[in-house]
Amino acid sequence: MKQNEDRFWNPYLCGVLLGGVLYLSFLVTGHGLGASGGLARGVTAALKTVAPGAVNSTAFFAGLGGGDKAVLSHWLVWEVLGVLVGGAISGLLAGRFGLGTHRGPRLSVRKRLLFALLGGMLVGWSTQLSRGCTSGQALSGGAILSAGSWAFMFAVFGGGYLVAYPFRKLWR
Amino acid sequence: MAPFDVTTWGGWGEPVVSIALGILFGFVLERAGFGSAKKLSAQFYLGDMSVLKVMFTAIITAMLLIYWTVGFGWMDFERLWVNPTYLGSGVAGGLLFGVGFLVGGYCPGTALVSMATLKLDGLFFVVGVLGGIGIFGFTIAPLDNFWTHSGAYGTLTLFDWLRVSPPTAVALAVLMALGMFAGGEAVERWIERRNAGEVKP
Amino acid sequence: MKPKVLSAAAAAGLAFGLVALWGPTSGRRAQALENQAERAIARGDVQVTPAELATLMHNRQIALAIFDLRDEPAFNQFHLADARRPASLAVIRALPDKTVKMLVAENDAAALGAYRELLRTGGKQVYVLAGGIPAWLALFAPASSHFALLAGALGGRHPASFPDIEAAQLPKFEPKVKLGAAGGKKASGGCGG
Repeated sequence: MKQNEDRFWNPYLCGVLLGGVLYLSFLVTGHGLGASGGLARGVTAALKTVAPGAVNSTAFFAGLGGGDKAVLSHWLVWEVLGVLVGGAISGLLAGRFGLGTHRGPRLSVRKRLLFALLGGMLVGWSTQLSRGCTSGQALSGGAILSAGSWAFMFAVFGGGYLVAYPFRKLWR
Repeated sequence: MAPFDVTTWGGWGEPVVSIALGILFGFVLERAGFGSAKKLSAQFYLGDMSVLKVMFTAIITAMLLIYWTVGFGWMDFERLWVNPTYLGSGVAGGLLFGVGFLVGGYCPGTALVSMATLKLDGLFFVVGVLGGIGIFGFTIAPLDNFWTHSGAYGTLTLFDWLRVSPPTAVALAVLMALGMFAGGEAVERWIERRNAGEVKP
Repeated sequence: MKPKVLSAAAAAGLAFGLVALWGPTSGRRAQALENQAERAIARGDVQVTPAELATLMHNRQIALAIFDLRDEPAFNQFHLADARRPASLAVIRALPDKTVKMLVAENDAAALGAYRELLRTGGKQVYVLAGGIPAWLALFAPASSHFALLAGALGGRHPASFPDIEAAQLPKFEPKVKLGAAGGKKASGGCGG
Protein backbone atom coordinates (compact mmCIF):
# COMPACT_ATOMS: atom_id res chain seq x y z
CA MET A 1 0.00 0.00 0.00
CA LYS A 2 1.75 3.08 -1.25
CA GLN A 3 1.61 5.92 1.21
CA ASN A 4 4.08 8.47 -0.13
CA GLU A 5 4.50 9.72 3.39
CA ASP A 6 7.28 12.00 2.33
CA ARG A 7 4.67 13.87 0.36
CA PHE A 8 2.63 14.87 3.37
CA TRP A 9 2.54 18.63 3.62
CA ASN A 10 3.99 20.41 6.61
CA PRO A 11 1.46 20.24 9.48
CA TYR A 12 1.70 23.94 10.27
CA LEU A 13 1.03 24.76 6.64
CA CYS A 14 -1.93 22.43 6.64
CA GLY A 15 -3.12 24.09 9.81
CA VAL A 16 -2.99 27.52 8.22
CA LEU A 17 -4.85 26.27 5.16
CA LEU A 18 -7.43 24.51 7.30
CA GLY A 19 -7.82 27.65 9.36
CA GLY A 20 -8.38 29.56 6.17
CA VAL A 21 -11.14 27.17 5.10
CA LEU A 22 -12.67 27.40 8.54
CA TYR A 23 -12.60 31.19 8.37
CA LEU A 24 -14.13 31.12 4.91
CA SER A 25 -16.94 29.03 6.27
CA PHE A 26 -17.70 31.53 9.04
CA LEU A 27 -17.41 34.42 6.62
CA VAL A 28 -19.78 33.03 4.06
CA THR A 29 -22.22 31.05 6.17
CA GLY A 30 -21.90 32.30 9.73
CA HIS A 31 -21.00 28.85 11.02
CA GLY A 32 -17.95 26.63 10.98
CA LEU A 33 -17.35 23.13 9.64
CA GLY A 34 -18.67 19.81 10.88
CA ALA A 35 -18.79 16.10 10.21
CA SER A 36 -20.65 14.05 12.79
CA GLY A 37 -23.84 16.06 12.28
CA GLY A 38 -23.90 15.11 8.63
CA LEU A 39 -23.49 11.46 9.54
CA ALA A 40 -26.25 11.73 12.13
CA ARG A 41 -28.57 12.95 9.43
CA GLY A 42 -27.51 10.10 7.23
CA VAL A 43 -28.45 7.64 9.96
CA THR A 44 -31.77 9.36 10.50
CA ALA A 45 -32.56 9.33 6.80
CA ALA A 46 -31.76 5.63 6.54
CA LEU A 47 -33.88 4.84 9.58
CA LYS A 48 -36.67 6.90 8.17
CA THR A 49 -36.92 4.73 5.08
CA VAL A 50 -37.05 1.46 6.98
CA ALA A 51 -38.74 2.47 10.22
CA PRO A 52 -40.38 5.89 10.01
CA GLY A 53 -42.40 5.14 13.09
CA ALA A 54 -39.28 4.71 15.16
CA VAL A 55 -37.90 8.00 13.87
CA ASN A 56 -41.04 9.90 14.72
CA SER A 57 -41.34 8.40 18.16
CA THR A 58 -37.72 8.77 19.22
CA ALA A 59 -36.97 12.32 20.23
CA PHE A 60 -33.39 12.38 19.00
CA PHE A 61 -34.21 11.26 15.46
CA ALA A 62 -37.49 13.13 15.35
CA GLY A 63 -35.63 16.36 15.99
CA LEU A 64 -33.43 15.75 12.99
CA GLY A 65 -35.91 14.34 10.55
CA GLY A 66 -39.30 13.54 11.98
CA GLY A 67 -42.50 14.06 10.04
CA ASP A 68 -42.07 16.29 7.04
CA LYS A 69 -38.53 17.41 7.77
CA ALA A 70 -36.11 17.02 4.88
CA VAL A 71 -33.34 15.27 6.76
CA LEU A 72 -30.67 15.38 4.11
CA SER A 73 -31.33 18.89 2.92
CA HIS A 74 -28.75 20.38 5.24
CA TRP A 75 -25.33 21.97 4.89
CA LEU A 76 -23.68 19.30 7.02
CA VAL A 77 -24.75 16.57 4.64
CA TRP A 78 -23.48 18.44 1.59
CA GLU A 79 -20.27 19.26 3.38
CA VAL A 80 -19.67 15.59 4.26
CA LEU A 81 -20.07 14.71 0.58
CA GLY A 82 -17.55 17.41 -0.22
CA VAL A 83 -15.09 15.97 2.30
CA LEU A 84 -15.27 12.61 0.55
CA VAL A 85 -14.58 14.25 -2.80
CA GLY A 86 -11.77 16.43 -1.50
CA GLY A 87 -10.11 13.56 0.28
CA ALA A 88 -10.32 11.40 -2.81
CA ILE A 89 -8.85 14.09 -5.05
CA SER A 90 -5.93 14.70 -2.75
CA GLY A 91 -5.34 10.98 -2.37
CA LEU A 92 -5.39 10.49 -6.11
CA LEU A 93 -2.96 13.33 -6.75
CA ALA A 94 -0.59 12.14 -4.05
CA GLY A 95 -0.63 8.50 -4.99
CA ARG A 96 -2.33 7.52 -1.77
CA PHE A 97 -5.49 6.30 -3.41
CA GLY A 98 -6.14 2.59 -3.42
CA LEU A 99 -7.38 -0.32 -1.37
CA GLY A 100 -5.56 -0.89 1.84
CA THR A 101 -5.76 -0.89 5.61
CA HIS A 102 -3.83 1.40 7.91
CA ARG A 103 -2.77 -0.55 10.96
CA GLY A 104 -0.11 -0.88 13.61
CA PRO A 105 2.78 -3.25 12.91
CA ARG A 106 1.61 -5.88 15.38
CA LEU A 107 -2.04 -6.00 14.41
CA SER A 108 -3.67 -8.21 11.81
CA VAL A 109 -6.00 -6.73 9.24
CA ARG A 110 -8.95 -8.54 10.78
CA LYS A 111 -8.26 -7.23 14.28
CA ARG A 112 -7.67 -3.74 12.92
CA LEU A 113 -11.02 -3.69 11.17
CA LEU A 114 -12.74 -4.90 14.31
CA PHE A 115 -11.18 -2.18 16.41
CA ALA A 116 -11.95 0.39 13.75
CA LEU A 117 -15.57 -0.62 13.97
CA LEU A 118 -15.66 -0.60 17.76
CA GLY A 119 -13.75 2.66 18.02
CA GLY A 120 -16.07 4.15 15.45
CA MET A 121 -19.10 3.12 17.44
CA LEU A 122 -17.76 4.73 20.58
CA VAL A 123 -16.84 7.87 18.67
CA GLY A 124 -20.24 7.97 16.98
CA TRP A 125 -22.07 7.65 20.27
CA SER A 126 -19.95 10.23 22.04
CA THR A 127 -20.17 12.84 19.28
CA GLN A 128 -23.88 13.07 19.84
CA LEU A 129 -23.37 13.37 23.57
CA SER A 130 -20.93 16.21 23.08
CA ARG A 131 -22.93 17.71 20.23
CA GLY A 132 -20.11 17.60 17.74
CA CYS A 133 -16.73 16.14 16.93
CA THR A 134 -13.25 17.52 16.41
CA SER A 135 -14.46 19.40 13.34
CA GLY A 136 -17.64 20.90 14.68
CA GLN A 137 -16.64 21.40 18.29
CA ALA A 138 -12.87 21.54 18.56
CA LEU A 139 -12.03 23.36 15.33
CA SER A 140 -15.11 25.50 14.81
CA GLY A 141 -16.09 26.04 18.42
CA GLY A 142 -12.44 26.48 19.33
CA ALA A 143 -11.89 29.18 16.75
CA ILE A 144 -14.92 31.15 17.91
CA LEU A 145 -13.77 30.73 21.54
CA SER A 146 -16.74 28.74 22.84
CA ALA A 147 -15.86 27.62 26.35
CA GLY A 148 -17.60 24.27 25.99
CA SER A 149 -15.71 23.51 22.80
CA TRP A 150 -12.34 24.12 24.43
CA ALA A 151 -13.37 21.88 27.32
CA PHE A 152 -14.37 19.19 24.84
CA MET A 153 -11.08 19.51 23.00
CA PHE A 154 -8.96 19.02 26.10
CA ALA A 155 -11.16 16.11 27.14
CA VAL A 156 -10.51 14.44 23.79
CA PHE A 157 -6.76 14.68 24.19
CA GLY A 158 -7.14 13.54 27.78
CA GLY A 159 -9.18 10.51 26.83
CA GLY A 160 -6.78 9.52 24.09
CA TYR A 161 -3.65 9.81 26.22
CA LEU A 162 -5.35 7.98 29.04
CA VAL A 163 -5.80 4.79 27.03
CA ALA A 164 -2.78 5.07 24.74
CA TYR A 165 -0.53 2.89 26.85
CA PRO A 166 -3.10 0.15 27.59
CA PHE A 167 -3.93 -0.10 23.90
CA ARG A 168 -0.39 0.27 22.61
CA LYS A 169 -0.52 -3.09 20.83
CA LEU A 170 -2.88 -1.51 18.34
CA TRP A 171 -0.31 0.94 17.07
CA ARG A 172 3.23 0.01 18.11
CA MET B 1 -21.67 42.84 6.29
CA ALA B 2 -20.37 39.35 6.82
CA PRO B 3 -21.42 36.72 7.62
CA PHE B 4 -23.46 36.40 4.50
CA ASP B 5 -26.61 34.35 4.42
CA VAL B 6 -26.00 31.71 1.78
CA THR B 7 -29.55 30.49 2.09
CA THR B 8 -30.52 33.58 0.16
CA TRP B 9 -28.26 32.80 -2.81
CA GLY B 10 -30.90 30.90 -4.69
CA GLY B 11 -31.81 27.31 -3.92
CA TRP B 12 -28.40 26.07 -4.97
CA GLY B 13 -26.38 28.58 -2.96
CA GLU B 14 -26.05 26.70 0.27
CA PRO B 15 -25.42 23.24 -1.23
CA VAL B 16 -22.73 24.53 -3.58
CA VAL B 17 -20.95 26.49 -0.88
CA SER B 18 -21.16 23.61 1.58
CA ILE B 19 -19.83 21.08 -0.90
CA ALA B 20 -17.03 23.44 -1.90
CA LEU B 21 -16.00 23.98 1.72
CA GLY B 22 -16.18 20.24 2.29
CA ILE B 23 -13.91 19.58 -0.67
CA LEU B 24 -11.31 22.02 0.61
CA PHE B 25 -11.63 20.55 4.11
CA GLY B 26 -11.21 16.96 2.93
CA PHE B 27 -8.35 17.90 0.64
CA VAL B 28 -6.31 19.58 3.35
CA LEU B 29 -6.95 16.77 5.82
CA GLU B 30 -5.66 14.25 3.32
CA ARG B 31 -2.65 16.41 2.47
CA ALA B 32 -1.71 16.44 6.12
CA GLY B 33 -1.73 12.67 6.07
CA PHE B 34 -4.79 12.43 8.25
CA GLY B 35 -6.35 9.81 6.03
CA SER B 36 -4.06 7.42 7.85
CA ALA B 37 -4.90 6.10 11.31
CA LYS B 38 -1.22 5.40 11.86
CA LYS B 39 -0.34 9.05 11.52
CA LEU B 40 -3.26 10.17 13.67
CA SER B 41 -2.62 7.72 16.48
CA ALA B 42 1.06 8.62 16.55
CA GLN B 43 0.00 11.81 18.33
CA PHE B 44 -0.86 9.77 21.37
CA TYR B 45 2.52 8.04 21.41
CA LEU B 46 4.29 11.39 21.37
CA GLY B 47 6.46 10.77 18.34
CA ASP B 48 4.38 12.74 15.88
CA MET B 49 2.57 15.82 17.05
CA SER B 50 0.93 16.60 13.73
CA VAL B 51 -2.60 16.39 15.09
CA LEU B 52 -1.76 18.98 17.72
CA LYS B 53 0.01 21.18 15.21
CA VAL B 54 -2.68 21.06 12.54
CA MET B 55 -5.59 21.49 14.94
CA PHE B 56 -4.24 24.36 16.95
CA THR B 57 -2.71 26.14 13.99
CA ALA B 58 -6.09 25.92 12.26
CA ILE B 59 -7.86 27.21 15.34
CA ILE B 60 -5.62 30.21 15.92
CA THR B 61 -5.50 31.04 12.21
CA ALA B 62 -9.27 31.07 11.94
CA MET B 63 -9.55 32.84 15.28
CA LEU B 64 -7.19 35.65 14.30
CA LEU B 65 -8.90 36.06 10.94
CA ILE B 66 -12.35 36.10 12.52
CA TYR B 67 -11.57 38.52 15.28
CA TRP B 68 -9.56 40.89 13.07
CA THR B 69 -12.48 40.98 10.66
CA VAL B 70 -14.92 41.57 13.48
CA GLY B 71 -12.57 44.17 14.93
CA PHE B 72 -12.62 46.15 11.70
CA GLY B 73 -16.39 46.04 11.78
CA TRP B 74 -16.64 43.94 8.61
CA MET B 75 -18.28 40.97 10.27
CA ASP B 76 -21.12 40.92 12.79
CA PHE B 77 -20.04 38.73 15.69
CA GLU B 78 -23.57 38.42 16.97
CA ARG B 79 -24.56 36.54 13.84
CA LEU B 80 -21.78 33.98 14.09
CA TRP B 81 -22.59 30.56 15.45
CA VAL B 82 -21.08 29.98 18.88
CA ASN B 83 -21.49 26.40 20.04
CA PRO B 84 -23.52 26.43 23.27
CA THR B 85 -21.60 25.24 26.28
CA TYR B 86 -22.67 21.99 27.91
CA LEU B 87 -19.84 21.20 30.29
CA GLY B 88 -21.18 17.89 31.59
CA SER B 89 -21.99 16.17 28.32
CA GLY B 90 -19.18 17.98 26.52
CA VAL B 91 -16.43 16.74 28.79
CA ALA B 92 -17.92 13.27 29.18
CA GLY B 93 -18.41 13.01 25.45
CA GLY B 94 -14.92 14.33 24.84
CA LEU B 95 -13.28 11.73 27.06
CA LEU B 96 -15.21 8.91 25.42
CA PHE B 97 -14.42 10.39 22.03
CA GLY B 98 -10.74 10.41 22.88
CA VAL B 99 -10.87 6.75 23.82
CA GLY B 100 -12.73 5.86 20.64
CA PHE B 101 -10.24 7.92 18.64
CA LEU B 102 -7.35 5.95 20.07
CA VAL B 103 -9.03 2.59 19.66
CA GLY B 104 -10.41 3.22 16.19
CA GLY B 105 -7.70 5.46 14.88
CA TYR B 106 -9.87 8.22 13.46
CA CYS B 107 -12.32 10.98 14.11
CA PRO B 108 -15.39 11.28 11.86
CA GLY B 109 -13.85 13.77 9.45
CA THR B 110 -10.56 11.93 9.00
CA ALA B 111 -12.35 8.60 8.69
CA LEU B 112 -14.33 10.01 5.80
CA VAL B 113 -11.08 11.01 4.14
CA SER B 114 -9.62 7.58 4.76
CA MET B 115 -12.72 5.97 3.33
CA ALA B 116 -12.52 8.26 0.32
CA THR B 117 -9.06 6.94 -0.46
CA LEU B 118 -10.45 3.41 -0.32
CA LYS B 119 -9.01 2.38 3.01
CA LEU B 120 -10.98 -0.42 4.62
CA ASP B 121 -10.29 0.66 8.18
CA GLY B 122 -11.70 4.06 7.35
CA LEU B 123 -14.80 2.46 5.96
CA PHE B 124 -15.26 0.23 9.00
CA PHE B 125 -14.77 3.21 11.28
CA VAL B 126 -17.42 5.24 9.45
CA VAL B 127 -19.82 2.30 9.63
CA GLY B 128 -19.08 2.15 13.34
CA VAL B 129 -19.80 5.85 13.71
CA LEU B 130 -23.14 5.46 11.97
CA GLY B 131 -23.97 2.53 14.23
CA GLY B 132 -22.91 4.45 17.33
CA ILE B 133 -25.09 7.39 16.37
CA GLY B 134 -28.01 5.08 15.80
CA ILE B 135 -27.51 3.48 19.20
CA PHE B 136 -27.29 6.89 20.79
CA GLY B 137 -30.72 7.85 19.52
CA PHE B 138 -32.23 4.84 21.21
CA THR B 139 -30.24 4.96 24.44
CA ILE B 140 -30.05 8.62 25.34
CA ALA B 141 -33.52 8.88 26.89
CA PRO B 142 -32.53 7.84 30.45
CA LEU B 143 -29.53 10.19 30.29
CA ASP B 144 -31.52 13.06 28.89
CA ASN B 145 -31.37 15.11 32.05
CA PHE B 146 -27.58 14.94 32.13
CA TRP B 147 -27.32 15.56 28.40
CA THR B 148 -29.56 18.61 28.43
CA HIS B 149 -28.82 20.26 31.73
CA SER B 150 -25.47 19.29 33.15
CA GLY B 151 -23.25 22.36 32.99
CA ALA B 152 -25.56 23.96 30.43
CA TYR B 153 -24.45 27.57 30.19
CA GLY B 154 -25.86 28.46 26.83
CA THR B 155 -23.69 30.64 24.68
CA LEU B 156 -20.54 31.17 26.71
CA THR B 157 -17.31 32.39 25.21
CA LEU B 158 -13.95 32.21 26.92
CA PHE B 159 -13.82 35.98 27.12
CA ASP B 160 -17.23 36.26 28.74
CA TRP B 161 -16.30 33.51 31.17
CA LEU B 162 -12.93 35.03 32.06
CA ARG B 163 -14.41 38.53 32.03
CA VAL B 164 -11.77 39.81 29.65
CA SER B 165 -12.01 41.48 26.28
CA PRO B 166 -12.22 39.24 23.20
CA PRO B 167 -8.73 40.09 21.91
CA THR B 168 -7.24 39.28 25.30
CA ALA B 169 -8.76 35.81 25.09
CA VAL B 170 -7.44 35.51 21.53
CA ALA B 171 -3.96 36.51 22.65
CA LEU B 172 -4.05 34.00 25.50
CA ALA B 173 -5.15 31.26 23.11
CA VAL B 174 -2.43 32.14 20.62
CA LEU B 175 0.26 32.18 23.29
CA MET B 176 -0.96 28.85 24.64
CA ALA B 177 -0.90 27.33 21.16
CA LEU B 178 2.62 28.61 20.49
CA GLY B 179 3.69 27.19 23.82
CA MET B 180 2.19 23.83 22.93
CA PHE B 181 3.96 23.82 19.59
CA ALA B 182 7.29 24.49 21.24
CA GLY B 183 6.60 21.87 23.87
CA GLY B 184 5.34 19.40 21.31
CA GLU B 185 8.44 19.75 19.19
CA ALA B 186 10.62 19.28 22.21
CA VAL B 187 8.80 16.04 22.98
CA GLU B 188 9.14 14.91 19.37
CA ARG B 189 12.88 15.50 19.46
CA TRP B 190 13.18 13.67 22.76
CA ILE B 191 11.33 10.65 21.41
CA GLU B 192 13.48 10.71 18.30
CA ARG B 193 16.65 10.73 20.35
CA ARG B 194 15.33 7.93 22.52
CA ASN B 195 14.44 5.81 19.51
CA ALA B 196 17.81 6.49 17.89
CA GLY B 197 19.51 5.35 21.06
CA GLU B 198 17.77 1.97 20.96
CA VAL B 199 20.04 -0.82 19.95
CA LYS B 200 18.48 -2.59 17.03
CA PRO B 201 19.25 -6.28 16.56
CA MET C 1 15.65 33.46 11.07
CA LYS C 2 13.95 30.09 10.90
CA PRO C 3 10.54 30.22 9.24
CA LYS C 4 8.90 28.62 12.28
CA VAL C 5 10.19 31.29 14.61
CA LEU C 6 9.15 33.94 12.11
CA SER C 7 5.62 32.60 11.82
CA ALA C 8 5.30 32.24 15.56
CA ALA C 9 6.39 35.84 15.97
CA ALA C 10 3.89 36.87 13.31
CA ALA C 11 1.08 35.04 15.06
CA ALA C 12 1.95 36.60 18.40
CA GLY C 13 2.25 39.96 16.69
CA LEU C 14 -1.19 39.62 15.16
CA ALA C 15 -2.63 38.64 18.51
CA PHE C 16 -1.13 41.59 20.34
CA GLY C 17 -1.97 43.87 17.45
CA LEU C 18 -5.57 42.85 17.86
CA VAL C 19 -5.48 43.74 21.53
CA ALA C 20 -4.05 47.14 20.67
CA LEU C 21 -6.56 47.83 17.91
CA TRP C 22 -9.53 46.70 19.94
CA GLY C 23 -9.06 49.02 22.88
CA PRO C 24 -8.01 48.07 26.39
CA THR C 25 -11.14 48.12 28.48
CA SER C 26 -14.47 48.05 26.70
CA GLY C 27 -13.98 46.46 23.32
CA ARG C 28 -16.08 46.77 20.22
CA ARG C 29 -18.31 43.93 21.19
CA ALA C 30 -19.07 45.23 24.64
CA GLN C 31 -19.82 48.55 23.00
CA ALA C 32 -22.05 46.94 20.41
CA LEU C 33 -23.91 45.00 23.06
CA GLU C 34 -24.30 48.12 25.15
CA ASN C 35 -25.76 49.96 22.17
CA GLN C 36 -28.03 47.04 21.49
CA ALA C 37 -29.22 47.09 25.08
CA GLU C 38 -29.92 50.81 24.99
CA ARG C 39 -31.81 50.55 21.73
CA ALA C 40 -33.93 47.74 23.11
CA ILE C 41 -34.72 49.78 26.21
CA ALA C 42 -35.57 52.83 24.11
CA ARG C 43 -37.90 50.79 21.92
CA GLY C 44 -39.61 49.39 24.98
CA ASP C 45 -38.79 45.82 23.99
CA VAL C 46 -37.42 44.97 27.39
CA GLN C 47 -40.15 46.18 29.72
CA VAL C 48 -42.75 43.51 30.36
CA THR C 49 -46.08 44.50 31.89
CA PRO C 50 -47.42 42.69 34.95
CA ALA C 51 -50.22 41.28 32.80
CA GLU C 52 -47.79 39.66 30.41
CA LEU C 53 -45.60 38.28 33.18
CA ALA C 54 -48.63 36.77 34.90
CA THR C 55 -49.56 35.09 31.63
CA LEU C 56 -46.02 33.76 31.22
CA MET C 57 -46.07 32.36 34.73
CA HIS C 58 -49.07 30.26 33.78
CA ASN C 59 -47.39 29.00 30.62
CA ARG C 60 -45.90 25.61 31.40
CA GLN C 61 -44.17 25.33 28.05
CA ILE C 62 -41.52 27.93 28.63
CA ALA C 63 -38.56 28.04 30.97
CA LEU C 64 -39.06 31.14 33.08
CA ALA C 65 -36.74 32.34 35.84
CA ILE C 66 -37.83 35.29 37.96
CA PHE C 67 -35.14 37.16 39.87
CA ASP C 68 -36.04 39.60 42.59
CA LEU C 69 -33.34 42.24 43.00
CA ARG C 70 -34.72 43.87 46.13
CA ASP C 71 -33.31 43.39 49.63
CA GLU C 72 -34.21 40.49 51.85
CA PRO C 73 -36.83 42.13 54.08
CA ALA C 74 -38.76 43.35 51.05
CA PHE C 75 -38.47 39.93 49.49
CA ASN C 76 -39.76 38.20 52.59
CA GLN C 77 -42.67 40.58 52.81
CA PHE C 78 -43.87 39.73 49.33
CA HIS C 79 -42.45 38.24 46.21
CA LEU C 80 -43.70 36.59 43.06
CA ALA C 81 -44.17 32.85 43.11
CA ASP C 82 -40.92 31.00 42.37
CA ALA C 83 -38.95 34.23 42.36
CA ARG C 84 -35.38 34.03 43.64
CA ARG C 85 -32.91 36.49 45.06
CA PRO C 86 -29.75 35.98 43.03
CA ALA C 87 -26.47 35.82 44.94
CA SER C 88 -24.94 37.68 42.01
CA LEU C 89 -25.67 38.53 38.40
CA ALA C 90 -23.41 35.67 37.40
CA VAL C 91 -26.10 33.27 38.60
CA ILE C 92 -28.54 34.82 36.17
CA ARG C 93 -25.97 34.92 33.39
CA ALA C 94 -25.21 31.23 33.83
CA LEU C 95 -28.70 30.12 32.85
CA PRO C 96 -29.24 28.73 29.35
CA ASP C 97 -29.90 31.17 26.52
CA LYS C 98 -33.47 30.06 25.99
CA THR C 99 -34.59 30.58 29.58
CA VAL C 100 -36.63 33.73 29.92
CA LYS C 101 -34.97 35.74 32.67
CA MET C 102 -37.27 38.24 34.35
CA LEU C 103 -35.74 40.95 36.53
CA VAL C 104 -38.01 42.34 39.20
CA ALA C 105 -37.07 45.30 41.37
CA GLU C 106 -38.65 48.19 43.22
CA ASN C 107 -38.58 50.34 40.08
CA ASP C 108 -37.50 50.28 36.44
CA ALA C 109 -34.17 51.99 36.99
CA ALA C 110 -32.84 49.33 39.33
CA ALA C 111 -33.93 46.45 37.10
CA LEU C 112 -32.62 48.10 33.94
CA GLY C 113 -29.22 48.56 35.52
CA ALA C 114 -28.96 44.83 36.00
CA TYR C 115 -30.33 44.30 32.49
CA ARG C 116 -27.57 46.40 30.97
CA GLU C 117 -24.90 44.56 32.92
CA LEU C 118 -26.25 41.16 31.87
CA LEU C 119 -26.43 42.12 28.24
CA ARG C 120 -22.92 43.54 28.28
CA THR C 121 -21.63 40.06 29.06
CA GLY C 122 -23.70 38.36 26.41
CA GLY C 123 -26.85 37.47 28.31
CA LYS C 124 -29.89 36.52 26.28
CA GLN C 125 -33.65 36.63 26.82
CA VAL C 126 -33.46 39.10 29.68
CA TYR C 127 -36.45 41.28 30.51
CA VAL C 128 -37.59 43.57 33.32
CA LEU C 129 -40.95 43.90 34.99
CA ALA C 130 -42.19 47.36 34.06
CA GLY C 131 -43.01 49.31 37.15
CA GLY C 132 -41.54 46.67 39.41
CA ILE C 133 -43.33 45.26 42.42
CA PRO C 134 -45.49 48.37 42.96
CA ALA C 135 -46.99 47.98 39.48
CA TRP C 136 -47.59 44.29 40.10
CA LEU C 137 -49.36 44.89 43.36
CA ALA C 138 -51.40 47.71 41.85
CA LEU C 139 -52.81 45.23 39.36
CA PHE C 140 -53.13 42.07 41.38
CA ALA C 141 -53.49 43.00 45.02
CA PRO C 142 -56.65 44.86 45.94
CA ALA C 143 -55.98 47.96 47.99
CA SER C 144 -57.55 46.41 51.02
CA SER C 145 -54.86 43.79 51.25
CA HIS C 146 -51.97 46.25 51.16
CA PHE C 147 -52.08 46.74 54.90
CA ALA C 148 -51.95 43.00 55.46
CA LEU C 149 -49.12 42.84 53.01
CA LEU C 150 -47.03 45.38 54.86
CA ALA C 151 -47.82 43.90 58.24
CA GLY C 152 -47.02 40.33 57.46
CA ALA C 153 -44.23 38.50 55.68
CA LEU C 154 -46.08 36.27 53.31
CA GLY C 155 -43.24 36.09 50.83
CA GLY C 156 -44.44 34.02 47.94
CA ARG C 157 -47.61 32.80 49.58
CA HIS C 158 -49.70 35.88 48.98
CA PRO C 159 -52.54 35.44 46.51
CA ALA C 160 -50.88 38.07 44.34
CA SER C 161 -47.72 35.99 44.14
CA PHE C 162 -49.40 33.74 41.63
CA PRO C 163 -52.52 35.54 40.46
CA ASP C 164 -55.38 33.76 38.77
CA ILE C 165 -55.25 35.37 35.35
CA GLU C 166 -58.81 34.53 34.44
CA ALA C 167 -60.34 36.14 37.46
CA ALA C 168 -58.05 39.14 37.26
CA GLN C 169 -59.45 40.28 33.90
CA LEU C 170 -56.09 41.34 32.61
CA PRO C 171 -55.64 44.51 30.64
CA LYS C 172 -54.51 43.92 27.08
CA PHE C 173 -50.78 43.90 26.59
CA GLU C 174 -48.36 43.88 23.74
CA PRO C 175 -46.20 40.78 24.21
CA LYS C 176 -42.53 41.63 24.55
CA VAL C 177 -41.00 38.27 25.36
CA LYS C 178 -39.81 36.54 22.23
CA LEU C 179 -40.44 32.83 22.37
CA GLY C 180 -39.14 30.30 19.89
CA ALA C 181 -35.99 30.90 17.84
CA ALA C 182 -34.11 34.00 18.87
CA GLY C 183 -34.01 36.44 15.98
CA GLY C 184 -30.82 37.26 14.16
CA LYS C 185 -28.57 34.63 15.63
CA LYS C 186 -28.38 31.36 13.76
CA ALA C 187 -30.83 28.89 15.20
CA SER C 188 -28.39 26.08 14.68
CA GLY C 189 -25.01 25.85 13.12
CA GLY C 190 -23.17 22.99 14.65
CA CYS C 191 -22.99 19.26 14.42
CA GLY C 192 -25.27 18.90 17.37
CA GLY C 193 -27.60 21.80 16.67
